[in-house]
Amino acid sequence: MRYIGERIPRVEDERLLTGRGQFVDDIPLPGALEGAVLRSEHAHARIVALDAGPALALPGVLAVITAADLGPALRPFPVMQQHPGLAACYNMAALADGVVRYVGEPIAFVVADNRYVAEDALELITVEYEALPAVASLEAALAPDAALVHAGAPGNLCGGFTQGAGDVDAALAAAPRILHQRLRIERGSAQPMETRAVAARYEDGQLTVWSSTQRPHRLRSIVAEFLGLAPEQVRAIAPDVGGAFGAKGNFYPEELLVPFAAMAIGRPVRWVEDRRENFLAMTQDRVQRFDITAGVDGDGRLLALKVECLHDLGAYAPYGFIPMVNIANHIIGPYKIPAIAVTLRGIYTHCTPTAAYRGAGRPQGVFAVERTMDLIARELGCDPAEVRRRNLIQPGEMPYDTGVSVGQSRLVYDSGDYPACQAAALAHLDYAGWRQEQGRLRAQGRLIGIGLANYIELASTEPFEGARLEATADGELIVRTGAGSQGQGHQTALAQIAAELLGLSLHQVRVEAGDTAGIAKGIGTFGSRTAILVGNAIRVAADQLRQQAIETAARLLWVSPQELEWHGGGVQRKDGGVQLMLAGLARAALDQGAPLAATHYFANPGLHTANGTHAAVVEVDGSTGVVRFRRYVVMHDCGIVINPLLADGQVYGGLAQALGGSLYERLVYDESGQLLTGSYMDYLLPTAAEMPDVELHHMESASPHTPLGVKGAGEGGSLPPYACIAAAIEDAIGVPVRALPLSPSQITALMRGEAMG
Amino acid sequence: MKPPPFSYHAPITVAEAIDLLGRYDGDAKVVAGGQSLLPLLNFRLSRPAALVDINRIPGLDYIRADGGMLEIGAVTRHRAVERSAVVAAHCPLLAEAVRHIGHFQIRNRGTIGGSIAHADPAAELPIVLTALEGEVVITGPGGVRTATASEFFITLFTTSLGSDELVTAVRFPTLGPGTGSAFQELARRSGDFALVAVAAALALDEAGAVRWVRLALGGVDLVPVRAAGAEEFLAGKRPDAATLAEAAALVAGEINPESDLHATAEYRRQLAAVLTGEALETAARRAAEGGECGHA
Repeated sequence: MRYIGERIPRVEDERLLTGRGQFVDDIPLPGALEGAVLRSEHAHARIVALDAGPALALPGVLAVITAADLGPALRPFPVMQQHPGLAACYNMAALADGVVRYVGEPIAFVVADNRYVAEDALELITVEYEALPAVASLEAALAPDAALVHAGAPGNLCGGFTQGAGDVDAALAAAPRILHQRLRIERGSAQPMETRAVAARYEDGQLTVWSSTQRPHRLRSIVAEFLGLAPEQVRAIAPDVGGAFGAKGNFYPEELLVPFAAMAIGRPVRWVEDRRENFLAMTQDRVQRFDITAGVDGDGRLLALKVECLHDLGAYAPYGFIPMVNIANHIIGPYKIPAIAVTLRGIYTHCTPTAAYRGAGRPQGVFAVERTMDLIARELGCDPAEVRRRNLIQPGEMPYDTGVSVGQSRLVYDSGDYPACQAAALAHLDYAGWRQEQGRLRAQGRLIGIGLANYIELASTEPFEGARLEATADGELIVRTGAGSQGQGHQTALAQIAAELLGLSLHQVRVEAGDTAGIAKGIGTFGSRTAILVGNAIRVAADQLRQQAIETAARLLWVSPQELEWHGGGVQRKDGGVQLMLAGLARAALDQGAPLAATHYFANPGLHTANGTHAAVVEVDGSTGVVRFRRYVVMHDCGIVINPLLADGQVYGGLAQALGGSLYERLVYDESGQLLTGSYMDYLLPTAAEMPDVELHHMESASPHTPLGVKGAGEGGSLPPYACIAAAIEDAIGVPVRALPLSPSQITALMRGEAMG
Repeated sequence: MKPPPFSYHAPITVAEAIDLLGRYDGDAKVVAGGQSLLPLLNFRLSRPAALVDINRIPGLDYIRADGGMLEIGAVTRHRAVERSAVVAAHCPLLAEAVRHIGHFQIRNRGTIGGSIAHADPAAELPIVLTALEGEVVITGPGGVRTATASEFFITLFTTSLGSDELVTAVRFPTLGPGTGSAFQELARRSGDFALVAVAAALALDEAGAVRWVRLALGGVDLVPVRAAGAEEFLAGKRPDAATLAEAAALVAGEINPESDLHATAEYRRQLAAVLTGEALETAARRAAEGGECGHA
């Protein structure tokens, strides 16, 4: 059967859509207690005193855990990724110890019979704060004499680095034209439909932790280390997870507090984040401010690009510089840039920490370079599509060495036809036709704008991911991996790969992901990596399983393995005789002393560069500033597509989130660090009614790195819309757009010639 | 986001409800559709000692028209109003406005009385009540009284309803032949509270001039407001494009919007002018085409 490339409906959907999913909140845990977190009301304060007595006296309250109770478990969590530029890196701990640094930082953990009582108890804990001055924006954090988020980080600087190639200053000095712009993109957050949730049970020396995490194996390691357990005493399970988008990749305080409480009290404990907490305590995305200097020739060719970027980390840097590195990597884009220097500085503020969210810096890198392409077009009076075309890397130049080194490795693009991709998008849009229509309608006073954005999407394939294939006596093949699904459709896509490679029926394959008991090692799902790493781990393990099956059959049939071959989901004699199917082979293997199973950990084989082009036509209502989409075309190239239905879903979902960040969603903090948009009344997620009708086309430039030819698809949809929408609005209103998101009120102000506040 | 403890009562008569409200002396909240109250409880922003659930009181769920008045019982759901042929025939402005309330799931639960009593200045029903000069029917220990919009809406989320009183019905006058009305609003997303909303109703005389006009705006002040200056300006004039544009500009000048996270005051003024112009144009066209009873 052919499965790879087929538009197969998701096998998990029937279960999930009929309410039979098992999310952390659904895990049956008889006798479980419920937790609630006391969170800081101040963005910056010293905790002078805390009195939990009245809370403990409330009937139904089992425990109030404070920093003093945590003992050796009270220390900062390990940072996700080290970087030589991290001069003063601070991560969060399970509870604030003496000083709080953002509104929402955990101070105490109440465990009670149920959540209602637990929340009543929160109100009975008295905390005496000594309020300290807060810095709640990049500008405030960088002001002279600004309050410090961490005493060890002078100037609120966590650190920084410069990444690039060539001599950018010399190239700028020699360039015929120099262009500048400052760009800014505001805070947003992932808003998964399922908030975070953690449950834990400790029985007979075994700790089981359920968490809506993207990284169960890392969770197990940290929990074991912090609670003084051996890793084999801890099992971490990410059951069904209702969306994550990077924000559930972090290790969070509650993931330690819940198992700590379960062990201390001796009963299962569950904590389910509510939406208000999610707004305050789940890691957020951006702000970034870019100062861009571009050196160009008279034809609009980019000769040199110098970018200085300030990145608002919030109060801690749990991910180190991961989003900043992604920004730097994706500013290059699909363009030939002879000299480039991207300098990024990570700045602490008294706001919720920022980490990864759908693209983890990639969208902002794309925003910076694509807005630069439009700047060049505007300043030189060229067509923006033509400016891009002149700068694109050509297919004959693949693999393309950008000249930029990241750590020990070089950024080398593997494959793709960027000019064809852009040309196809323009053709599908009818770019020339819309340019004419734009002129015609403008004469009637109507504001039509056309926007375009290209991108490349580098998958996060460091360091590895694994797959374990097990044949069962029932003739089923179980695929186990540490990379769980948060809605991507792993149970379908990974089954398609396994079924096709082994000649099985799709119904024979069951995917069990995200359980540390299922596979010894695992990293997780993030950074558009699963199809590449787990897909290829399945491929190699399938080869091993096939060989094992042949050897098993050879022993059973008293023949030489050379007389046997894998065919049609089983083993048969080459001369056409006896065929043994999977169930029989699995039983025979068990009889012979070992299960029919194979595990492979597939290590990063090199950089995979997916790419694409988005093109949009918008109409801006001149009297209200409302943006309406007339057309939205996506060209999407993620290499070989495993399942177009799932790939389409990834693009639509990414686009919806980026649409939010472009026109609707903004986390606003006041000067004292209070979040002003902490509910869905004020934080506006786009709904189906706000989505444009999207015309989506796939190209398939196979990656040469693996036989599967797949690339990353999880984030591509979210990378170019920010730049594309900004370009379209700018084109419509004839005023430079340098900041996102943009509300109709702000668009109207731009049209009146006011600077954006 | 769990509410603090409260007592729960589900009376089956209006008298019993009023008695309960009196006994709690301001420390009880009436719940019907729960669309505004429950979030406030879950955020612990409202902490009443008791909830008085009026859903089980018979006789509060009705829509009827007589004597030039459309009367709607307090626990009537928005969705029922939206789908009512009686409302469409006797108060098309209300039928038009109610479609803008939230999403249909919200309209299935939310009630007419709840929306009026909650007194959100950007909510649709208070604006329509203000434009049509309707009245709120209030039952208290001493019996039934009525209040006009200006008597009822005091300020943001605050009404003249006594702590032992209950909104039992809302009345909207039927406009009659030769009249036209229209509702316009702009929200950030479909289903959101309006940034600005405008309700317009007017009557034309035989010569096609404005006999009377009423303009009410929401989202521009602490309560829904009438644009008296623009109304006065329009009276007696033919509603041509230039006149309507001038009226719209007057509206922008006579309101007092504030800036918030979603829009500046200046933007709201501009929006008020744009939406007023559109509402007036539509209302005038409908009036010219025969009027309210005609296009029902």
